[in-house]
Amino acid sequence: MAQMKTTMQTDNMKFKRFTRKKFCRFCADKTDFIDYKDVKTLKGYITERGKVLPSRMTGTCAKHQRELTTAIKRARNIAILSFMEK
Amino acid sequence: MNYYENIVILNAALDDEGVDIAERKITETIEKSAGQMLNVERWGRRKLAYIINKQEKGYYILFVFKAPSGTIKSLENFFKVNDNIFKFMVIKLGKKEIKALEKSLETSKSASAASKVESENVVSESAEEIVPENTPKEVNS
Repeated sequence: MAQMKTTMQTDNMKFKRFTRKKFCRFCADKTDFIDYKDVKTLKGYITERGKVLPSRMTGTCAKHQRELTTAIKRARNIAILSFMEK
Repeated sequence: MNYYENIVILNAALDDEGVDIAERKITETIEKSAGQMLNVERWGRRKLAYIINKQEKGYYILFVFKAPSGTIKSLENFFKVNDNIFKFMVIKLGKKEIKALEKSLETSKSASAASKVESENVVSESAEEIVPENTPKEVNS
């Protein structure tokens, strides 16, 4: 058990050494709402394939992540963003 | 009365007249049922992110309007019947969006008023400029 703990700690340290602290872009910019017509910002939160990026990768807070997903889904519905990029 | 935002994708093969007619019809259907059009924005022909109705391009128009909830049903019925419209989306705006909208409407109003004043000034200036330009030419000839 003790060994496990130490390895976990070292792993954590390794992980922490290479990552910068993430923060929510929308909170920092104090955006009123996330617009589904704004393709430029939305494209920063989807993968090359068109999937929504998880907040653990982008650092978006829970509230804005919820708004983001609805915005992305609206944009997909009206063919501004694609459902799947080949 | 609620605030709504409506994006319509028309057939890209339509000419400008057809687009005008479609836009007029939509505004009519909204205003018939006690609605009020606030803003119309034409995005023009755009490439679609995926193929809809075997088409790669579409003509986008964005409507922003204020209307009672009953209008949306009649609007959607109209969209379903119309062949040129192959995709549409109506969204009810939230509180924050309405606030931003009202602000943008006010600024656009004041901006348009300012631009009018500016254009008048420009016109008067250009008129003044033309006069001295013409006179030396006449002298030369």
